[in-house]
Amino acid sequence: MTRPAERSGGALDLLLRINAALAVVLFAALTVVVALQVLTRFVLHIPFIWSEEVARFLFFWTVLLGAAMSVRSRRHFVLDIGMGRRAVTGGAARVILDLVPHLCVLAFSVLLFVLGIDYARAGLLRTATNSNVDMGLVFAAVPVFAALTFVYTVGNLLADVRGLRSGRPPADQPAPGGE
Amino acid sequence: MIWLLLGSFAILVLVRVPIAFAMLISATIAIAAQGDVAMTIVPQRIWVGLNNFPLLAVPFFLFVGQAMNETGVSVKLIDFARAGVGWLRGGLAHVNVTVSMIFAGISGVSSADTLGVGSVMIPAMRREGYSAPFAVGITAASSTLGNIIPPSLMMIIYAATAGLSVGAMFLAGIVPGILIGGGQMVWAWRVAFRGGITETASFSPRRLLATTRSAWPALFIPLIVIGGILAGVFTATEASVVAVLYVLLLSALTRSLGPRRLFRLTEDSIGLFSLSLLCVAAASLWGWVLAYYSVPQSIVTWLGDVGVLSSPLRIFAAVIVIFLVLGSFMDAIPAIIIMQPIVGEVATAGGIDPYHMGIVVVLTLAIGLITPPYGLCLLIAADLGETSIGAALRALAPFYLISLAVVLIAVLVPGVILWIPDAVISGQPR
Repeated sequence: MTRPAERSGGALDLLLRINAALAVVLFAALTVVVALQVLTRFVLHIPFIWSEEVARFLFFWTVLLGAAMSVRSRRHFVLDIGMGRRAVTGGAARVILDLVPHLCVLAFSVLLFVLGIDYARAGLLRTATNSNVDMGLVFAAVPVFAALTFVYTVGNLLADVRGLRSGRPPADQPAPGGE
Repeated sequence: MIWLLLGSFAILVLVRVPIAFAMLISATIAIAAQGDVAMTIVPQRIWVGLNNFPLLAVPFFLFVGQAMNETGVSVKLIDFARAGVGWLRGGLAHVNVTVSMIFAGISGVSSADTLGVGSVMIPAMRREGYSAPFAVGITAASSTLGNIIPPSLMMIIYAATAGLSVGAMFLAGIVPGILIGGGQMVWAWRVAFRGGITETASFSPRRLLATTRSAWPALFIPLIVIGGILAGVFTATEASVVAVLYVLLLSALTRSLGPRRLFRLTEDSIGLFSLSLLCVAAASLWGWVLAYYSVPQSIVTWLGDVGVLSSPLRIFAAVIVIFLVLGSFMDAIPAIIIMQPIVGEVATAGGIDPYHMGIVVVLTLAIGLITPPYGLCLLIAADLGETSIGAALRALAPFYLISLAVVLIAVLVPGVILWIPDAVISGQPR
């Protein structure tokens, strides 16, 4: 990430596209597995024993990949007490307001990556009861999420710094996802 | 250490760290400072929080709502509602509420309703002589039904974190949804009457038939979801995936979604549902730390000392005030997730039925969707109507009263609300 900013944007977009494609594939697999579970229960009256387990694993991966995507698109829920960044004009206050959240998330993602690797390695020794899926494979979603969050946050941080320097208002917080 | 948790959370959230990350970071700081728990508890609780089968309904219902908006279903539903109730005095206002109620039976997300219905209905209402603030107000207020009439994102999250049946929680939303919608239509009639608005479309059975024919594929979804759960055929999660299959089949038959648009739609839905679900994962860690310091029990003891626990009414009053405030500052999902461990404990201590408490919380948080500064539905509708928040607030006043009245009904006569889940719940799995 020490590359010039324009290039990092291109590399980030590629990463994001791979990330999104993987998430969509896993979500499709999740849909198929749960649909099969419902169909077999109604048609064959024999539930798959492995389907619920596998569904939960796919769900875990899909959610964490999606959460990483939303770090890039800055959609995660933020508290709004009405004195948002627009109220603060110029100077150091503005820089702090814009950059501190990124730095907090960055520090946490590094820690989560280390802890997540430990956790996934501990999981390698176990397999799931019904489906024999290696739990290390499931838990690996955590360090992957941490790594993606780190990279996307660096990208967003650089974009904001560039924006601040050129005097443009930083990329505005887009409308959150809603509920 | 508990002050370290709450203090760092407050600071992080105030400097605009996303709420999910603020929960994760503050909990991690508290655990590290405590020092006697292995730090792998952090990834472990993220896993435990998401390893919860009922949560699978969240992505599926969200996808259905997004797909319906993408394929222009809201316009067909508006035509249908126009033929159905457009001949009443204040026709367009009634159409607005009716469409929101139908949409609520398809999607569990209110802001999608505000956008889908509001972008067509607000300009149409202004053309017919309604004031812009009223058009904005009724659009925003009626779209809160999205989280009250099943399916509902708030209810899935509440039920999943509280260990309740999502299906039963859904069914508890039917009566309050109809009460609020009905109240809004009565008020709309009065506004149209006083304002001398006479626009009506004459009733035509042929038009009703024609619009039903083009809208029935969408109308079928509430039937699958609500009907399936009511009849005890499906659990909520099963109903959600059946709805997804139905939407996919429909779009394949009508060729309304090409592979590229389907991909983009799915990608967008994943980004959207992961927002709420990352909060769920973060709350699992946060809730674990709270429980480690037995915070919920301490709060219950304290509330008992203060005398709040002595009557259910006082408990409900406290819960309603807390969620009205929280709901106007943050999204309902993190509000539910942060408070549920405590609210659940308090309800048990006060001998309150968990579904009774759940529906009161959801109804209260739905009001937060139209309360500034963070009333998402209000912000979207005001933007669509090019109206100031202040002007819209005056038009919204009666709608607050209607919603609050239904919250009161839910508190005082729970039998009115809970008879459907009570009647169905016997012999139902999850």
